Amino acid sequence: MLRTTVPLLLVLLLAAPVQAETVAYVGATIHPVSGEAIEDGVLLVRDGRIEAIGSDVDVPGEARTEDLSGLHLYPGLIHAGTVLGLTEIGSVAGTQDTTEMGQINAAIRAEVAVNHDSMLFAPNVAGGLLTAHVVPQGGMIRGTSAAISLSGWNWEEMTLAAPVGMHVAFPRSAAENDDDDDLRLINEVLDQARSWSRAMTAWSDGAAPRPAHNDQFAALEPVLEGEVPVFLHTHGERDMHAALDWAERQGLEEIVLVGGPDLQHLASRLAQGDIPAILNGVHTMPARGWEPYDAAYVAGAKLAEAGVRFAITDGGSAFTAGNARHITFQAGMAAAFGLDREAALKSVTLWPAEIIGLGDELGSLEAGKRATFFAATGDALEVTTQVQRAWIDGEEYDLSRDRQRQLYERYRGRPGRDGDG
Amino acid sequence: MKMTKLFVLTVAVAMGPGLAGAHDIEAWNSPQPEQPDHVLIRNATVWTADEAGILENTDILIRRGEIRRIGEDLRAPRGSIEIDAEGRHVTPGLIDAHSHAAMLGGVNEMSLISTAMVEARDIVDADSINIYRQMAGGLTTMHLMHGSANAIGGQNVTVKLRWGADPADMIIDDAPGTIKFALGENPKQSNWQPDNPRYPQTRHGVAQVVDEKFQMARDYAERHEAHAGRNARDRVPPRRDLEMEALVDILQGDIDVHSHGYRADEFLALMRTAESHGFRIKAFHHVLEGYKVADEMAEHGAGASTFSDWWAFKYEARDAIPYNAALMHERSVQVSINSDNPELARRMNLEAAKAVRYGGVGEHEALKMVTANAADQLGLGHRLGRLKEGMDADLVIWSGHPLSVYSRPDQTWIDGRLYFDRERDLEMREAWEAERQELIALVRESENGEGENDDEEADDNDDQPDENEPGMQLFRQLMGGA
Amino acid sequence: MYRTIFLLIAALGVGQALAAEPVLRQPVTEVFAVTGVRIVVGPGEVLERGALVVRDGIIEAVGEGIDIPADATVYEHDPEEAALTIYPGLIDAYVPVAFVRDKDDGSEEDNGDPVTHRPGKYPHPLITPDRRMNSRHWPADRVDALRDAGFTTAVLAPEDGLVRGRSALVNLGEGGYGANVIEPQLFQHISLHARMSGRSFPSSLMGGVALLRQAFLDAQWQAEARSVWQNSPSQRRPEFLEGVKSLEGLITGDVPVVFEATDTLDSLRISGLVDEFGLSAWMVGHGKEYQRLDSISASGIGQILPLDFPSAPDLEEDAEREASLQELRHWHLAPENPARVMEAGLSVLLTSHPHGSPGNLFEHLEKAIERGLDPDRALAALTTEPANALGLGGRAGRIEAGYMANFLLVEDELFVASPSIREVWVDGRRHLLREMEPPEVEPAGEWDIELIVAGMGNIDATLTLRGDAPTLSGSMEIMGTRLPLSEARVSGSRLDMRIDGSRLGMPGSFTMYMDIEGDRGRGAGSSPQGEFDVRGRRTGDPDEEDAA
Repeated sequence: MLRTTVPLLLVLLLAAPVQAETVAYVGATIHPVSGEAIEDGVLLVRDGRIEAIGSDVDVPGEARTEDLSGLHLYPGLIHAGTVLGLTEIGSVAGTQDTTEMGQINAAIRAEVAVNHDSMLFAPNVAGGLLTAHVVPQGGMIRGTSAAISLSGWNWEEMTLAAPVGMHVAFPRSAAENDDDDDLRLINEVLDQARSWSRAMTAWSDGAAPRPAHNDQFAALEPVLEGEVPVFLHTHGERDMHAALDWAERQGLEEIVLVGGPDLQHLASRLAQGDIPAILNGVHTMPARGWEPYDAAYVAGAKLAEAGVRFAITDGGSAFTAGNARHITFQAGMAAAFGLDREAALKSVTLWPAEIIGLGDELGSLEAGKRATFFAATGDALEVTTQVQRAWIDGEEYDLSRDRQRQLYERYRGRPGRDGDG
Repeated sequence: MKMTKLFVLTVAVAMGPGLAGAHDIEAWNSPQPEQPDHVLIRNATVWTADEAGILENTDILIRRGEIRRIGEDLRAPRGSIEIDAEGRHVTPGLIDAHSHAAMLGGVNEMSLISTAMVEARDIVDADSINIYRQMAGGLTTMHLMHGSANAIGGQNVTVKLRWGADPADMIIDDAPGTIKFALGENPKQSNWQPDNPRYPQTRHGVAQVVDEKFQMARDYAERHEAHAGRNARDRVPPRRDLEMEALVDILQGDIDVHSHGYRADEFLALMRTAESHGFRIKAFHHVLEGYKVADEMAEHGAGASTFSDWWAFKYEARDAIPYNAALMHERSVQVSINSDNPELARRMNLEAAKAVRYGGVGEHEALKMVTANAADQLGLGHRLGRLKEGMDADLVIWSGHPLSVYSRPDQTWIDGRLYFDRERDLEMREAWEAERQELIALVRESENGEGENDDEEADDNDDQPDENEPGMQLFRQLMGGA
Repeated sequence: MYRTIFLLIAALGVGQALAAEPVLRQPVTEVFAVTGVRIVVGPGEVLERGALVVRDGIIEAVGEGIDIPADATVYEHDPEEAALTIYPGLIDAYVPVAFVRDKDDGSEEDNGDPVTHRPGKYPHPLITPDRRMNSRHWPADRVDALRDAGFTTAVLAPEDGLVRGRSALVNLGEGGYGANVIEPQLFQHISLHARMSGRSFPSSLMGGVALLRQAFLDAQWQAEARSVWQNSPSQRRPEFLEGVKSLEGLITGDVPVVFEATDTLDSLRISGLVDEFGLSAWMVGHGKEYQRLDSISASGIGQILPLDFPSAPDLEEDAEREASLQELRHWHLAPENPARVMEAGLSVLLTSHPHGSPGNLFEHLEKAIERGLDPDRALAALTTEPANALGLGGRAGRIEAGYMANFLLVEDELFVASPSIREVWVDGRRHLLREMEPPEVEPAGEWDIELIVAGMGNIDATLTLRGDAPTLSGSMEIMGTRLPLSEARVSGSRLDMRIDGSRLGMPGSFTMYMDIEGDRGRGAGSSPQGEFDVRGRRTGDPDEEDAA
């Protein structure tokens, strides 16, 4: 029976990408991420998806060929947790839609507030960041996040998947106190949501009257049924453990643990439970005064050694949103301190794709996946590398939309003071 | 005297033999590393940050803290310490032209519109762990600046990251005085609601108040000159005023102005104010719209010390672009890139690399933005920021290309002393952890060693009842309190 | 004969002196002798058995087999019964006191627009060198608490502001300010950490330093300007800068300055300023001097050191990662600080600051001695050294003829965690802390207590006592709030208890006693609020308590 009152869940908008053309990108070094780099490879794109990839690909006659010699092709970077689209200018309140008030906001849907013309998008695309996991902030049960493509004519078109996950900020105080007030509130809400869900089932079976509408419980229902994962936001080792203990007690099976470099101390637990993680920042100070200077730098290596799948982000604040593209440098720093370079690249492409449920769509250059990729002058994690072109669903993005680049071009062309400009 | 074994351990480690004997995780426990007579670094790729450019397979000879010679196949004086840097790169120690990473008791003197009388040299935090962590990122010098709450802020101080030294010994003694100015949203208090707002609240007000202060300073100087000229013994002397004296020092060129600012209009206005009073702005900091008035800045002679890529965090940072450094550089403004952030200051080399990414600055020129150019802006180009004969032996040995994200500093040298050595650090962290565990065991022992009664007594004494408990309120009443 | 009087006085409260009580209405002869005691004459000098004669507040004679004057009231002690030792009264060189704000000290802002305070503009509320101790500031509770801990002389210093004002050197007897002042204007006190808010300067540490520099400059200018003007009065009169005049004595070195340092780098900062302005200075320390000891000792500035060591870091199960090496090290090394500073060659005075209850000093002192502090040097740092530093050489700090009759009687040793100080004499007046008799009861266990308070009715409480008589520990619970007992002692069948208010952020002490018979007790108590009756019934024996 259809519960028409419940919002449609799990909108995976997999409509065929618009670009209806076949293009063979040749000459570049292709980094599929899922496999070895291919020198002088061919990437065949048809109707917005990758048709074939390799060094020896049959290019059909109708295909247009683009020569990308000298460039390196990478799958689009994916930011695993950002407020891109919800912020413009950090200090201007009117441009901030990152943080709702109140503690329990399960029915919040991040995608509906994404400003598709945000001035922050184009510069990020110009840095190779083509997909973002947009996460609402504030409170304890923060609502649901969405995966969005950074190109589109409105948020609905840009939304790749929603809800990606329910975001729960685990109360830090609960690490030290079994009877924490905040945690008790979360537990009560979940218990009530379960009761509501049972009542709804009884109603749909004709065994009971319909319970009153409640959009928060409705939003929590698929979470409690394991259909929508819970992203647990944490601070340090103690509350990370406490959060996982809590999730076990709650019977929550689909979990993503989000936190800082202390995640490394849970590496074996995460690996054993096959729990993926989002590492909020490699460019952070050691959490404790006595820790080695590289305590945060080595977190990625420690997680990878244990076999944890993880995404590296910049923490995802409004302050960092403008440079969300630079998560590559954080991954690179992890690589400088022991993380395998391939794994470092995965931490900003394939692994975040998998963590946000788009592992079959994005994150690597493989036949059947979306043709969302960029071309750069060199190693994607190197700071000195320049991103030159980007494609989303097979369509090339017009990088001249980047306002930063516009200002650059404009002032570069300013006539010199003595007229020689 | 009963000294426990543990303390002996910490001192023994700190004073242990070896070149890098110094560094402990606490400054006070880190004696200054020795300064060998001669150190010879062999076969490195040397980034001179100077006219010589990048030199392959090159040796650097250091003599008592100074660079003695750079060249191929240098002869090692007797007793030299030789370091084989084959496959590694050496750059000058990195310089952060804008830092607050080691200051105590407030970075801002928030109160007045001009606080030229306050001095950062009084509050250098030689104990800050930031120093060690930044040194581990190749930083050797930082310009500790007053905050940006005032149009005319306090006096800054330039220090070397001599971990373990006293504040006075970190300060570079022949560095020229510098002072912080600030323009825009911060001095005009745009982003908070002060209980008691202060003049000015606009950009033109900021421009006006700076002009007014320098007029006052000129009058002040004239009063003092006039007094000195006349029959001083019979005349009541004018009062001295530390704020005015700092401003007079600016007018006389003894203190350089480093001004925080984001927008092009305010740079122009401040330069014109300075020109009208006969001095120059040494450098604009952050200078996000510097690219819009780069020619004017170059003409004035102002340097630029910019963020590499921060933008959109305030309205006045809306037009900030990561190409700023490149554009200003192209227009002959001397550009440095600063951190303004203790964590960022641990990877200034990568901040420089962004000038290559955005705008295509050459790699060697980019490196100069965190070495030579920063040194020049701080008035220290004569001894810091470049690898050439006669300069201070402040340098970094990198595991690879210094602008590569995959490289790490292996060693950081200051004054020809090895202050940071990654290998040594890796050993030391084992020792620190062992010591920590030993101390934890001692705490446990002290907890268990005391009798049960003592233990409970300790509990009695440690539990501070909550102010708001009803019992506490009753007891307060019993004690005659309200 | 005297015993009855003292029992009476003891019942009135702790530590009140005979002469100060108008019990007898007419003056009493103030000649006393104490015999049959061990006497620590000074650090390292002990008379194993001797006697002491006090006349009119001054020690008249001390020694073995001295003549006891006929007019003396004699306190004879039997060493077989209790080994009593006389020590010189302790001297605390730094007791910060909240001075009552004067209306005219510049702190009051006019109604209407708030005043913006800036350097060089006077009066400035943080530059108050003219503040001084007076009878309105007299901290009677602190004086009592210090005396109970064996202190007989102290420097009472103003505790807030930047240039804070002058301290007074006082004895810690009864009778208030006037009766106790030795030197009404001793040191000038400075801290660099006072702050203003809003638009007023300073709001930062560097601002505080700049404010001080400007004030010193202004003092120099004022001295010069006034003198020029007085010689050549036919010109505009220089403005008089309020408060600044008193800084002149600092710059000339005539008035010593005591800086309160907050940490190691503050110590170095202060050393720099002392050099810069040629001040004559002492520094109140912070306990981390060992960390940059070479540099601190190079300044040569004498240190008034706290005996306040950090308690062990909280090491909860599964949270050892949170215990920082830095914190652990300091916990471990802090008790060595006093000894190390002494060994570095600096003058060291010890202070009970910042203990709210001065008696807590002894526990830390014991730890310091365990960790290398020589007990004689410790005693010197609490007696002869401060006496010399405070200009009391030859008058205080020793048990010697001609000295002020400031001393204490303690059972056995003084430098133990919880010394049993019986009497403290100040200016030849005896303050009886406790009349000790051998314990006849063992009150350990749990007690239901009723406090019968006029105006508040009956208050139920639970008393938990542990240990063996005469010294117990425990707590009193009121409405679920557990209040730690600062002291619980048995004498005969009487149990005396005290809760130190300062630990709970309240002035004064809460004291009560019960006379115990079996599992019943009745007695009385007092607090700053007044007196009350106490009834008690034991409900649980000590064994149960231990088992629980």
